[in-house]
Amino acid sequence: MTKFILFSGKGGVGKTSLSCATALMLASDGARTLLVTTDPASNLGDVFEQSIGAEAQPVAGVNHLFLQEINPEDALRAYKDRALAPLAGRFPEAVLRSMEEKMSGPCTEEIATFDQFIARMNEPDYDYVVFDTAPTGHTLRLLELPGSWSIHIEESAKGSGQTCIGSADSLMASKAQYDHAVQTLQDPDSTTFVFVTQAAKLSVEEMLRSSEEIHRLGIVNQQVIINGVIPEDERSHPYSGRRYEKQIPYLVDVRKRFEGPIGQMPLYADEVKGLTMLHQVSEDLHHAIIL
Amino acid sequence: MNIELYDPEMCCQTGVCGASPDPELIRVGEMVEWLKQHGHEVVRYMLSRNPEQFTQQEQVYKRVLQEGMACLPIVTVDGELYSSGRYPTLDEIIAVKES
Repeated sequence: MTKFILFSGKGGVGKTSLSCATALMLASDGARTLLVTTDPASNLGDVFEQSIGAEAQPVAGVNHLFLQEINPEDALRAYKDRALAPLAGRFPEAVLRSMEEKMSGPCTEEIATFDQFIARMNEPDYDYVVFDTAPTGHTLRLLELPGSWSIHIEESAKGSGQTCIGSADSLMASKAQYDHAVQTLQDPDSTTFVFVTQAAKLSVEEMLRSSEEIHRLGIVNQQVIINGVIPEDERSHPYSGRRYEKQIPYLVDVRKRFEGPIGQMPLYADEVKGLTMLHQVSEDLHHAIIL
Repeated sequence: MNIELYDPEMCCQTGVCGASPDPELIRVGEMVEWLKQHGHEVVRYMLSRNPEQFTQQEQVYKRVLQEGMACLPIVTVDGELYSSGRYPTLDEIIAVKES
């Protein structure tokens, strides 16, 4: 079992449902578990049918389970405040305004959110920390040492759509915290990276690409969950039977191309929402995830 | 030589961002690497992250107070202000040493 479990995957593949079910599974076994999302589009609150905020709060009706949302806007505001505070009174107002404007791009927001992520990687109060939405390989590269930046410049120059290539020293938290986070992410006894995909072309291709990218960063403890697979007893039905036929090549493809453990989760007739449904998903998840 | 770059505010230490990064910033990034590899000490500062450097370097502080952000980037060589409002070329920097 690793303390940190990070869920990654394209929007709509069921990442939130599975991270919720995982956290519920761990908490139900009596472990103090924190479930964190950094995704502005996350519906964590809807899944648990309760409010969620910047501070960790307990889930009603489940012992040991806590929810927390890292909101990019709040993160950016805190980041700006920290940066601007030491300048007040020493530089003209116009300079401060111009700085604030420069620090308002999506790139700074990503860095600010990442800063908060790092803080959660230094979390002594919980037995397990589950992340709905892991940082992308691109963001994780912020953890690399400055020496590697020329590679990014090359990639950027080719127009691959990289957004930011800052290095550890461009961030606010201490170097020691970042070093600790990198080591933790790379340590297979500390961190598990779970890639969620559907059995469909785009989803699989993107998942394999980001798996490789994460692997290149030295994060090797990876597994895949193929979500939404048509359940066995539905496959004789003409419509869902055809859907399953379409899924088979991708189930095979992932097995050929991904080396780590691969689990499958069924397609549910009902929306994954509320504790009763989540408990059922947790049951199925026991067979799909290796922790 | 000891070269200090007081960069304008960018989202990260190099500012090489987006699908079409500024070629000038790529050039500066490469120049910095080249200078480092050839034994020079090069440091880059940004107001949001290294405010003390901007106030401690008197010539830099004065300029920013007088002209605002428009004076950036400022480049100093061995403690002396070399250029303001633009990045020098590699040849220019090397020429400082020879002069």
